[in-house]
Amino acid sequence: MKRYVSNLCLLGFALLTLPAASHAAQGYSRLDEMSLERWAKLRETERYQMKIAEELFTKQNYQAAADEYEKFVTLYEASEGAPFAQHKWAMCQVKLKKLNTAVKDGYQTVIDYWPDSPEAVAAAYLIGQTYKAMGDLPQAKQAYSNVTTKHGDEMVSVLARLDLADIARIEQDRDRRVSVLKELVFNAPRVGDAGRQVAEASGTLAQLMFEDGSFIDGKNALATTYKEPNLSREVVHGSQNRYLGVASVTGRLVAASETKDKGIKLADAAISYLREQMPAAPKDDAEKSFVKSLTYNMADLHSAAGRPEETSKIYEKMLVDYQGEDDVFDRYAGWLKGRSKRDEARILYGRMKNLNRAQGRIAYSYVEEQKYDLAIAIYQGLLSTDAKFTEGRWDWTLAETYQRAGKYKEAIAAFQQCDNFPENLFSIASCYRAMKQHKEAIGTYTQIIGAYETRAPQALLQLAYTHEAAGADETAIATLQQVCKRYPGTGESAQAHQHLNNRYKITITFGGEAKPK
Amino acid sequence: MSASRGSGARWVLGIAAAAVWTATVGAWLSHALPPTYHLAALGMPDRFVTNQGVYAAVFLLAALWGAWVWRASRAYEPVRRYWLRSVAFFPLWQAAVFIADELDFASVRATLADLGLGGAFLIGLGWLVWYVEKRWSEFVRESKQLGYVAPTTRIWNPFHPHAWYYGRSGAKLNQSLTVLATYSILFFAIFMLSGQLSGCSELYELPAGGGKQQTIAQTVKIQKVIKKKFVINPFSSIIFKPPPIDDVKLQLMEITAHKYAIGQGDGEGAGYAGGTGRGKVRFIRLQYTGGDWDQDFGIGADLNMLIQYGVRTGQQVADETESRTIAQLENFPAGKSPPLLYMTGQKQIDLSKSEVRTLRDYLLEKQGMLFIDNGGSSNFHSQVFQAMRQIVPEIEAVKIPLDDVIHRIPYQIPFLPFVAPHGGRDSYGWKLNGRWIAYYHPGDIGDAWSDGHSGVRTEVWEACYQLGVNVINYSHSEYSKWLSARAAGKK
Repeated sequence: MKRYVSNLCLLGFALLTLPAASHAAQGYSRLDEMSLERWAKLRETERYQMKIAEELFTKQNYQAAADEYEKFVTLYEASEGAPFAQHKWAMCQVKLKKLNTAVKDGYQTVIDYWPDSPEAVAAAYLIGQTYKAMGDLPQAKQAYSNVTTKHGDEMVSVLARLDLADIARIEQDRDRRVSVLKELVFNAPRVGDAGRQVAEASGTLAQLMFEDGSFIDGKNALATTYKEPNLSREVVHGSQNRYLGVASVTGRLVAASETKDKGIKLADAAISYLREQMPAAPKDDAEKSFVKSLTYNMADLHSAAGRPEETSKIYEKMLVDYQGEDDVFDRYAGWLKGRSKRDEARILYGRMKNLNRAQGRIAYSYVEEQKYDLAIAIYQGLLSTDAKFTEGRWDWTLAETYQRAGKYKEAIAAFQQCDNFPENLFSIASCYRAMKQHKEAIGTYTQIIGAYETRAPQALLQLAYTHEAAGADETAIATLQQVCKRYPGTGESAQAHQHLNNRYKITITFGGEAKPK
Repeated sequence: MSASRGSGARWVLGIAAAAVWTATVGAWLSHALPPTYHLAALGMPDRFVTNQGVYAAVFLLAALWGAWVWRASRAYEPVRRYWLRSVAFFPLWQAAVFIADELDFASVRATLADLGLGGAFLIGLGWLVWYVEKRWSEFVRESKQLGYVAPTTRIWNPFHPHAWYYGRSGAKLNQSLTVLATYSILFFAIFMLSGQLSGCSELYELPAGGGKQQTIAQTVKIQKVIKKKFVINPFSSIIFKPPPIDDVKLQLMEITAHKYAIGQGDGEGAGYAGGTGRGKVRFIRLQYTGGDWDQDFGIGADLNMLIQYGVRTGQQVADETESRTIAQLENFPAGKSPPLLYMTGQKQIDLSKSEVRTLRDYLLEKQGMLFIDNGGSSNFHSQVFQAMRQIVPEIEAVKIPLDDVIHRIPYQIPFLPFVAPHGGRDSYGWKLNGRWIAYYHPGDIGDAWSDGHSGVRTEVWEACYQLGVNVINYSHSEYSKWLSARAAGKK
């Protein structure tokens, strides 16, 4: 039985650390995991203690987890798990915002006492990372330099160089940044977490190259990560929130008169590259789809370069080439809408086969123009034609449109039909307030406070504003103070505090925190 | 009659234009004007005009006028021509300096300023020499025509060759030397005066003393009071009631262990090694434009914090709190500038180019530090980060760890205290070469210092005072270390 339980534990931990085991040959793939082989070497009592600590760590109870890791190190100093426990103890200190302690008493201890352990390698890197997080860039650079020198073949070396590139960004040293990124993107092995980050770095390098007007270098950087048909999409559009593609960079360059020529040249280089990729005679659906994707990208590049006539020509040709395909209508109409040609866009939407989607798009274009009555009529139709809401939550959209149109009674009735509590209750209360039916609004907010604990701060704050709108300033002040006092760490308490200060010139707001909850 | 009236009007107009131009130059040099003027205050649509726009308009108009005068002067006879060109020189010079400043060509600006100053000196000297020579020639001509007549009374006019203080022999040489010396002294006196347009030079000195960089620790000594032990004979005929065994009284006595002085260095008493006997810790609030730098200013918070700092550290502190504009920071020389400036508000922070330069110089060259407190909005949070990106673009904000020196000395701060989390629950800092150059508190710490402590619990405002003490002490300690290092370097 004992062995059975032990094996179960082993299996559980193995599942947790599977990624680590799969990359055992390259050392770590994640810095906070222990390999399966080493876990197997632990005695049962050690595993038991380690599991307690790990569970607490997973539950983000870092103070208790740190105590349990410390207990492990005290009880089983000679164990295979001791450096790991010390390493995780340091990670707990980081989570507890004690970064100096993590470096001096945590990671450095791992290196000093267990220099041959895998954790010592990870600790060497994490020392640099922790220094960087504290703003100590010279120490961070020194630590990363040690990592790259001593552990050149390990994953941490790649991570260290990625961080060095980021430090160069902070220090606005563009040349050093580009040089480090080039070395990483073209030469570094892509293993585990580092592999994903190097892939992202290839995008960053590409953006820098595009900004310099060097299309080929940028494309080559991305080509280390992506192959066609994805490469051309990444080249043109980049990746949202991570790096910019040629279209966005062109838009920026063209916007400034001194870089306009550079932007246009960049766009032209990208367009000619896309043309080169275009199969002369697409054989199968995949190739046809690729051709369409390339054509869209060309249209986007012309648009970014400030050549709407060219964009329009491409879309018109696509209308002919891909007769009756909804996505062409949709995309062309979307582009026209962006140029404030909503009537033309609506005509294109009207030619789509998917009527529900087309009607939804048309209705929204009316909302954008504040022609709410027209939009409402369409949304009402959609409630019956698309009762399963395959193309959108029409009930909610209709209710919101009523509210925007100032038809609060109809809006309340529509919100009551929605089932996304408590959002609909907030909207209902908001409509009551707009109609100056403060009593009903107060009732609705009170209902939220009672039923939805997590949204109670927001509801209580709105309740205070409602009292204020009803002319009950005293009650409003007391309610605002309640927000500060009951929910001191929330954004709502900050708003309540500000409102008390600014509107009522009241400095006694209560609230405040000095201890973690 | 009408011609003289027209001429008079031109004079009035000219003097008024010259006055406007002079005032503009003065305002520009002293950073006296706010960066923006809100037209809404004048009942106009809510737009604004930047003072750079006003400066640019005045400088360029004046420069155009100067260029026109220069060109038009060719039609006049030499004296009038040179006179007009001398006048035109000044608006052209100042416009060139202004343009160089706007284009951020610091070295060109400095060169133009210096060359222009030299030019102004030479122009003035040239006209003076011309006038003196003219008077001398007139005297010689009169003497030739009328014959020399010895003056019967003492002549005081310095332009007269027979002024008594020039003596009888070598009067011409004496006159030339006197006029040159007087002119030079007057010119440089005026120059020095105009250099102080932004206010008088002032000093900030740390209080002398020393102290350890150590956390205040409180120890509790537990003293057991052991009662007398009784040996009782159970067979005795005397009845005795022994006390219960557990009735042992404990005497708890808290003794504060921080008998060391708070400060930095080896001096005597609480203070700083780089300080002076007359030095005091001052609490200076930074005046900036665009928002409400004076939020709750002068109603307790700043002064309470300063008093608490004095009480808790035993250091000399000023009697009153103060405020300074960004431009006034230039009046403090390096080594005698404030180690810490407190900045708060909840609206906009508008910084002009020169203000950005001044603040950068203050933080990096003068080893200053900003203690920024979010006085009440998430907008101010982003304003602070935006302003710091302008001032130190090469430094990125990081969250300050709870075990950092600034959170440990002299008080251990286990958790960031706040009144309301306008900008989150973490303090941020900008660090350069291991020194925090700015500390940003996101949660209205100033409200906790104020009278009534905003109604927050004792533990909150107490922790806020402790954090305030830590930041003030940190900035002064770092400044003192820098002063000591500078002194050692000079030796």
